[in-house]
Order: sequence, then C-alpha cells, then structure tokens
Amino acid sequence: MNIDSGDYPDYVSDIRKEGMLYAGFLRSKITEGRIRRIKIPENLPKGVSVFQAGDLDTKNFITVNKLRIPLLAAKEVRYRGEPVLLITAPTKEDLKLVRESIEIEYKEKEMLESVFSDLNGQTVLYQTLYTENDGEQPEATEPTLMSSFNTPIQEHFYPDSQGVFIEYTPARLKVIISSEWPKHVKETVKYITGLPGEKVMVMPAKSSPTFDGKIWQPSILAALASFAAVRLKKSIKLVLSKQEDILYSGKRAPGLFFIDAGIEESLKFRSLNFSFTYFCGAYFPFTKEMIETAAFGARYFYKSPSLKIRGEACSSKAPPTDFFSGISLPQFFFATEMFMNRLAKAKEVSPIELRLANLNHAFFRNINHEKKDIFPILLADLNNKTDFTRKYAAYEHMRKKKSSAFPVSVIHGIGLSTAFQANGLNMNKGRFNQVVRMSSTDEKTVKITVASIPGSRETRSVWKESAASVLGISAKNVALSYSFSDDAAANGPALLSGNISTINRLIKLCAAEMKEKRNTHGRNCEITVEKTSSDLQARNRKKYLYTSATCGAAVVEVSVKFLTMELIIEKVTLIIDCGYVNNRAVARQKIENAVIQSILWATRDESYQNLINESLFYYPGIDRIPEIEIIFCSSETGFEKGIGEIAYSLIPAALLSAIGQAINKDLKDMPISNERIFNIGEAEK
Amino acid sequence: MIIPFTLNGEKTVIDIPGTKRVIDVLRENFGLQKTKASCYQGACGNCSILLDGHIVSSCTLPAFELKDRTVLTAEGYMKTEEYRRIDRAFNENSYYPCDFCRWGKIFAIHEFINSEENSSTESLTQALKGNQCNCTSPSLLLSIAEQIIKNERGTNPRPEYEHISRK
Repeated sequence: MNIDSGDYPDYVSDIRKEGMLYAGFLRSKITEGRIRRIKIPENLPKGVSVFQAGDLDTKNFITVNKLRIPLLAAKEVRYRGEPVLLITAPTKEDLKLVRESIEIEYKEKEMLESVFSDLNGQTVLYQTLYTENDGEQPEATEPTLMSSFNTPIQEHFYPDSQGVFIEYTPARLKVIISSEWPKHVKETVKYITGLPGEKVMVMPAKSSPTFDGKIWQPSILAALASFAAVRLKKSIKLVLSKQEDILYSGKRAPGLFFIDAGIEESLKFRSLNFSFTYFCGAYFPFTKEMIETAAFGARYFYKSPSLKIRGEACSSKAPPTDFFSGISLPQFFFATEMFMNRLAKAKEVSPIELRLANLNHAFFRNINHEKKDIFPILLADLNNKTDFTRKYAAYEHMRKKKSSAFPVSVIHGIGLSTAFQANGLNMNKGRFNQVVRMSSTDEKTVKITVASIPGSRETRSVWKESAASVLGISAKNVALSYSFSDDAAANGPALLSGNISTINRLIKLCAAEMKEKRNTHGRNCEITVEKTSSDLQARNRKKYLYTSATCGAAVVEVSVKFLTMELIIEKVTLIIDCGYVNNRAVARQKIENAVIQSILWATRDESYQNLINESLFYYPGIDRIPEIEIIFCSSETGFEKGIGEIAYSLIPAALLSAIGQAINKDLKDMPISNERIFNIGEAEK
Repeated sequence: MIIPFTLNGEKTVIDIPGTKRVIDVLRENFGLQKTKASCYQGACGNCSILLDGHIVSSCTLPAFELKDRTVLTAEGYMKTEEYRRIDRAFNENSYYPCDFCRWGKIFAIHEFINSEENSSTESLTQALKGNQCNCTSPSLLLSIAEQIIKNERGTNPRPEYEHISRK
C-alpha cells in the first residue's frame, strides 16, 4: 500500500467502526505512594469493563531496550498520571461517567515540588565517566570559571494525540497506531495476547509531522488495547485526550550541569570539567543512549589537554521521558554555550575568538570527511551577516555604563552560540539498525519500504525526489510504504539510528544499486535492493558514536523595553553546514520550526506543576514569531546531514545570553519568562 | 432539536442536542473527518469551517447556531476552483501543512481574499495568526499567502489559472 494513495488510515482519531468500544485510563492523582483500595461501583453501565493490573497477571509490563515498564500501576504508583485502570465502554459518555464514579484511595508518600527538589533520593540509572590528560598537571591551578545551569522539560506537541485502534476479528488483530517503532508494537502485542505473528498485523497511522516522541510509549497503548480487545472480543479505540497527551507523553528530560574550566593567556583551555545529570522521569529505557550522546558532545566539541566528564541519568518522580529532537545534546549545548559566553565576558574577549581557540576542528574534519575547518568559515560568515562583533562590543559598553550613564528607553543584547547535531547513532545496531528496501518490476516505478514514515509530506517528497533523481524517473512514480512483515525493513525505531537524512542517504544508495542492476539484469525484471545504516559506516574513518555531524552557529538579537522590561526577540540568524541540501524550501521550514520550538522551550514559564492545569499547548501565532534568517553554508560534504535538531542546541543559549547582556545579569536557568526578566530588571534598576 | 442547514451545498436536517459542538456533529453525524478536533478551546484553528462564507472554529460553536445557515467544510471546499489554485500554489512552493492545520490556513486565506482588507503584510499576518501548528514555516505561509491573494484579487496577471480551468 502506498502511503499517499489514500488506502492508509490517516489518523487513529478518525477511525470509527460499528460496535467498537472506547477505552481510556484512570490515572493516579498522586505522585508517589501505595494504592490502598479501588472502589468500583457494582452497577456499571452495560458493556463497560474495568481492567486492573491483576487482570494482566504476569504480563503487566512491556520490555523496551531490556527495561521492564509496568502497564498499569499494581500496588505502588511512581508518578502523577500513571495509569491505574483501563476502562472500556460502548460510548464516550459512558467512559466519562465510569471514570468519574470510581474512587481510588492512596497512601501518599509526598507531593512533587519540582524535578530538582529531591536530588538525594534519586536512583542513578546509568553513569559514564571519562578522563583525558596529556600528562601535565593542570589541577594545580584554580579554574578560571565554574558555573551551574538548569534546563527544564520540553513537552511534545502532536496535532494528533497518541492513540491506537485494535480491529478485532477471530482470525487476526489489526493494530492501527501512531508509532515510530511498529516492529516493537508488534512484538509487544504478540507477547501480551499470546497470538502468533501471522495473526497480528500492525499498520502505522500517520505519526506527528516530525519524527520524535512516539518511540516506545505507543507500545503501552497497543499492549493494553489489544489485551482488552482479545479479552472482550471487540474492536477497541484508545486515544489520549489532549490534556493526557501533553502531560504524560514523552518529554525532553530536564538537565542539571556543572562546568568548570581553566584557561591560558592564549585563550586555550588548560582544563575542562563537565558534570551533568539528566532526570528521566519514572521510566526511561534509553538512558545509556542519552548520557553517551551528551558525553559525546562534551568529549569532542571543545578540546582541552585535561578533560573530565561525569554524566548520569537519574530517575525522578515525573512522568516517563522520551527522546526529543537532539536527544540530550540541546540541554548540553545550552549549558556549554552559556558557559562559553560567560567565560568570554569574564575574560573580556570576543565570544567568537574564544570559540575559535578551543573548538575541536580535527574532530569535525574527521567525522565529516572534510579537509577544511568548518567553524572558522561559519563564524566568519555569521559575523559578517549579523555584525556580531561590533554590536556585541557596543552592547557590552552600554551594559557596563548603563547604571550611571544616559537613560535609554530600549536596552539591547546580542548572543552567540555554536553547536553540532549528531546524525546516525552507532549503538545497538542489532536492535536499532535502520533499513531501506527498494523494489521495482519495471523501469518506470519503484517502491520504497521503510520502518516508519512521518506525517510530514515535505519529508516524503524529499525521499521520493531523491530516489527519482538517481533513477531518472518521475517522483510521482515512487511509492512509499511501511513494512508489515517481521523482516528487515520492519526494524527501527525511526529516530535512534535512522533520522530523516540517514534514511534519505540509504534511499540514494538503494537507487544507485538498482540503477546498476537494471543495466545488468534488464530494465523490466523484478529487482529488490536493501541498505542498512551499517552501509553508511564504511565511510566513517574513525569509529565515533555517530556517523556525521551537522555544524552550526547562531546569533540572537533582543531588545528589552526599559520601563516595562518587555522582551522583544528582534532577529534570529542561523548558519548551518548540513552538507548537501535536497530541497532548500523544505529544509528552511524544518529549521524555522525548530527555532520557534526552541524559543518556546527557552521562554515558557511552565513548571510541571503549572502545566497540570493546562490542556492546550501554547504555540505562537504567526504575528508573534521573530524574523528568522537561515543561511546554508556550502561545505565539501557530498552527502546530506540532519537539519531538524540543531536549532534546539543553538537558540536557547544565544537567546539567554542576549537577554542576560540586555538586563545585565548572568542567567543560568531556562526558561526565562517575561516575569523573570521584569523582576531581574527591576532589581538591576 | 431539529436543525435545518446547508452542508457543502446540500440542504440537510438533523435532530441532535442543540448544544452539541459543531465539530462533533460534522465528524460523528456526517463522517466529515477532514475537520480535525484538537484543542476544543477555539484556539488552534484546526477545526475551522466556513459558516456563511466566514471562517469559524467549529469546536466552540453549538449546533443550534447552524439553523438555516450554510456550512462549507474541507470536503466541500475541495471541489472549488479557488481551492485548486491555493493547493497548487502550496505545492509549487513545497509548502505542505499537515492535515490538522491545513484547512484552517486555507480558510483564513479564503476569508482574506473575500474581505475588504488591504493586502499589507501586517493585515495578512493578523488574518493568519489564528493557526497554531508546528508543522511548517510561518514565513513561507505568509509569502505564499501574499502571492495567492495578489493573484486572486486580480492585481497580477493569471495565466496559470486559465490553464487550471481548462483542465
């Protein structure tokens, strides 16, 4: 089936079937404690069923990346919002009534104040340590600067809430689900229901416009809904409400960072120490991938003769986290780039100069197979475009003089950051390998089969155009399809090792091989070729954790009204080396979106506690979006690199540095709200 | 409550609770799934429909408001020539909003085309600000909408439109 042909289910929320049951959760209202009693009314409406953990017996869990995650809370609840009961009912109204009529008594341990409120009580889930020393003893000298930084959660926004539809027939279960890892959904449903593989068919519905955040949590929905479907012999639709989706679907994990560094007169580091903790919520199956990714950034972005890295993932009492664009690098780069800007300020040097002295140029040459150093080019171009150096010096002058000199109605600030986006994770290849299969029976059409396809038509069009351009056919004759089988192309998940650009590279490799085979085998015979992300590794001269790195730098300019301390983001300028750009219009849209979402992450004044009362994700209207300029830097890299994540790493640090300069305050924590700016500004006045 | 109204060009009568949300009426009673339910607060623009030719959020509109009025949903508007021209402009610029926000954006452009508003960027920005979605680029939407409105209002020559109508 072709995803664009209309024979696919679009969204789970659109599916309706005669006789189906609606399913929903009753969730824990407390953060941590024991379930004392569940009081279910005896006279439930006809056709209503309530399932508890005990009903699932020994199968009340799913396994993700070797971690067992409970489906329904049994005796203990570990976070506010943890599912305790699954309710099915013939109508949505019945479901609501039953939800309201059930009482759960808890013995509560303590209320959640913040994810940082109880650091001593957290369990360390994964830890990494790394030390590099060239034999000198830099520890003898005091560090030039030490600082700590906090980053908050970031909620995913999906237009379509997470959900699953199970079509039950005695012959088989059809699972229609919005998931980036259909293979895992199938394995989970097989396990929970005890059905053989041929009786379980997983059909991915369209996922969110971008990849992300639907990696393992959809498997929980699929497991519970399929269990109920088999038990009741009915089709089941389980779709989270908007509020549930925002509150409990996977989020970006908060981070806490301590950085200290010693610096020479030449501006080069003599020592650099990172210590960071990511708070992963009650459950997170990818702690190793998360911490090693952050450590990868710490190890390679800047170079120092003495380097120490201590990173850990801790559990917390928040809902489980999931991967978000950039995995753990955006949190790391916020802290590191804020630190660099503070260091530049302390040493009274240009932030560009400081970075150029310490960036690990050799690493970027190696991982991207380039001869030229990319960051000097990026920073020179960005400086020319934004006039950064002059404006920075002028605003610094104003900042120092502000309290005593001439009054101004508007104060300005400018901030810079640099970062990279890591593409193609080289870890757990057996489980997470990404596969693209291409088949054709004639010279005009091809079918591409992949594990998961995002809802974004831009991405699909880029993939089709890539195949079409290599094969010399029209993009209209390229069909995209999910794999429904248990074999290679049903692997995944989509994000961990196979982001959009990685899959695009695999599509091109497949197309090139198919073209060659057509020449030797004949143009109208059946040809199938397959490529995996391992095929890209052959180019990797040194084995890094990731296959390539997208490099970028950003400047954010802000103004703050002196009287009201109202923040205005004047302009955001990004320069990015993402290798070959398939479609600039599409690439710009992806990056622009990431810029807007990263501004939201950096400026929203939402703690988890406040968000409980919200059911609406705030996304700014077109009238509240700053001017965004995106410059693509042409590098020697012949292949495409990812673009969707780097803005999350670049923008927050540049933005908060600019605000800090404007209001004369060293900011350390996100988010920075208008209220915080007002309070700081008033104190400074 | 018995509510007669015109839906996508056809006269219809429905007997439903008058306070039922129009979004639910369209999706559940008429199976018109292109109108998407999202925030249920009239904030995101995903449930936009045209009521007597004007864009409204159907999630905050009670069904009794439909009485003797004309509703055009995505399914009905798709059959118009104006839609084909807008869709073509989107495709030519590689602008592919997702299925959730797409119709809110298209209806906002439709409303602007048929309004007395001047074509300044500021007023167009105001007209388009009611759509909250993270799927595509706001600046690209603005530039494409400007181009569409110029063409639709006849300030530019329209050779491509003649081409479309011949099809």
